[in-house]
Amino acid sequence: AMRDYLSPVLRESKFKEHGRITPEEFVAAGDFLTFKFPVWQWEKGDSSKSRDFLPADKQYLITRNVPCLRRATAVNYTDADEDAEKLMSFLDEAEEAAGPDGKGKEEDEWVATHIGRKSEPSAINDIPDMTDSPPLPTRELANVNLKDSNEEEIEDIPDLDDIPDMDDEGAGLEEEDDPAVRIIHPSEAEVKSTVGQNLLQVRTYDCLISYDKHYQTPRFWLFGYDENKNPLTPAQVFQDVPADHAFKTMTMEAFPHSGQQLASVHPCKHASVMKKFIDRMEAAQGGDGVAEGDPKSAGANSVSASGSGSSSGKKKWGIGGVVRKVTGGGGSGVTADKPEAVKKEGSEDEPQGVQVDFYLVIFLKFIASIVPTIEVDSTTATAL
Amino acid sequence: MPTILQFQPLSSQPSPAFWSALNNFKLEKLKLDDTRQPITAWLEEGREIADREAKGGEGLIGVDGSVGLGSAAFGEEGSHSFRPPLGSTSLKGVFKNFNTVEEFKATDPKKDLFNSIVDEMLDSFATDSPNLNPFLLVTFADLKKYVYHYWFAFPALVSKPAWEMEDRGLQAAEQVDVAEIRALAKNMSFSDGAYLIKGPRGQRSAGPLSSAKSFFEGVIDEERTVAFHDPSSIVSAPGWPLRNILVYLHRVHSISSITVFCLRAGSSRVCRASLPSPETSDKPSAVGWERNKVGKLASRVADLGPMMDPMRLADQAV
Repeated sequence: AMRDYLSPVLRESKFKEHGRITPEEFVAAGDFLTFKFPVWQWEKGDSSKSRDFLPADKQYLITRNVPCLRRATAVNYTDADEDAEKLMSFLDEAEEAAGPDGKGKEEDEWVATHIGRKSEPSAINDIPDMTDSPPLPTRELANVNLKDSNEEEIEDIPDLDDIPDMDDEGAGLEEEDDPAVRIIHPSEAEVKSTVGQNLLQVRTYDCLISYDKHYQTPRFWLFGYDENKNPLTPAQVFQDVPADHAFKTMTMEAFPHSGQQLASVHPCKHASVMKKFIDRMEAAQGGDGVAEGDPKSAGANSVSASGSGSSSGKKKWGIGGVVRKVTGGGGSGVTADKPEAVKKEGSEDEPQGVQVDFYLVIFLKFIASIVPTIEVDSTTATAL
Repeated sequence: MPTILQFQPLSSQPSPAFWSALNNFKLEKLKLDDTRQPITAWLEEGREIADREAKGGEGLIGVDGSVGLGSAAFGEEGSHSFRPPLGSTSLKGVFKNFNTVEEFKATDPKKDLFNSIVDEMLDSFATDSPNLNPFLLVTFADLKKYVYHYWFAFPALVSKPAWEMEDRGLQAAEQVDVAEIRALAKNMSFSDGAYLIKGPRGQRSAGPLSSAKSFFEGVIDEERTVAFHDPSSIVSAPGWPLRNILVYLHRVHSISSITVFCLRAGSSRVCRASLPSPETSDKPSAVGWERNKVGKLASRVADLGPMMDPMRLADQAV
């Protein structure tokens, strides 16, 4: 936090050179994200903690209730379709024992993404539940917990455990035996979702993106709920983070706009990773550009491009082409209330190349590779 | 054989931001005031999530929409402070904070509160803007430890006899109908996330629930439809808010057979609901206290000490 406080606000656009962005560019990219994918919304957060270099009502981005169908440990990715750009491998439990080896990997390995990649769910009969899953270093988090009254004792509150008349009270409150209520016994729901579908439970996450002033990049945060909408404990959250990242790149830290402890991807590598993504996309786009011609005709394409989501999604690094279509052909597919800032940023850049509006969309694809079981990247389904 | 129409109960999902808003609200505005306060939540539509890992192609997983509470639940200063997330409808409720844990645990105050909300709902039936789906949140906040005891109630009127669903059950709606019905609501703001539809495909029109009598005048039963934003994602059951809508339509507008259109973020569904015989009792009873995760009627606890307690955060920051 101290470093954050001391760092000057980045003023100059650096995103092509270093992958870093200014607060203005963060806002522009956020406007684009919320406009294009309205599941994302701007939040103003706790006003006493607002950052003055961001507009008061655009402090951070949030998307709520992102589903997470499986624990990361229940999904073993196959390397059958590995290609040069997908270097990140998920250690299975045996490899995990080797532990620190994972740290020595080069930056490149961040550039992996499992989007669209086939995986082999682990054996169906062997669904690890909380006790079976690999031990997490929860001791470090011994004082971070979100308990539910039914799971754990809460020592300090007197009488909480012995609420003798709580059940009676329930009966008093609800006299009717109501045939129209659909009550599922929790275990039944669990059984249904696990057997046959190899699912543990559907957790949901609130995903937040803040701007990190020190690293001059966006920063990604998670807050999870279990299938009964109770908050997840940090240990539970880390079940959804591959062992490569849990407690290493992904840690619990104070969310700057509320002070609460949330799981976060540490942003120290974000800039270099984003630079690689952008470079690759620019390279790919150079090829695309010839074929697709000037922005006008690309604009005409935009309707068909967004319509046939699956086909364009297959061109992995062709996103840049879509960027140009989206920003260049704004009039055709998209209604008129496009944020001014987006237009301005777009026109200042050279017409070719990745524009900063698209930064957060790329960022989400990168994040999706870190937490593959959490469907953060709603952008694949919608437009690409 | 028609089957009894069952409803998927609502589930609450207060966010951490809500608890910190409650903290501020209690410390700065309420203090020791334990009167009831207005509160706003949002209700999401049920969704379907494509399971990319499913064997043999796309499996769809239903995720029920929940009643969400955010930082703006108490309506801060500023006009548009409350913005429900995309695709959600807002839900008005009553909030009451008890100052002691004993008061919180006592049955009678909660029961009285619940009954008064039900009575207000029944009274509102006679007006032009019935409030069909109010909710209740009672809390006890241990501010020193950042521990919150809470209990939600989503009062629902019990219809006797129960509504029934016709043989076909809850069927997937056709996309063309969904599009038309959603488009109708676009330019009109309907309270309670529900509205009436009449007419054949392509020529439908919409109206508010309170106008049911005149709106459905001369319309054959088959073309009488009520559409609502459905938090359920279950293929066999619509969501909780429909209960009060049906009771209202029957008691006030004498409707005992109607097509129900469940608008969902996943695939919307449609069924035909009917009441086998008119309701007899004068005053319906109500249910709706939220069950905890083991299915019991009991309050819940959110312990945000680790996330919010400055002392404990300071310990970790070393």
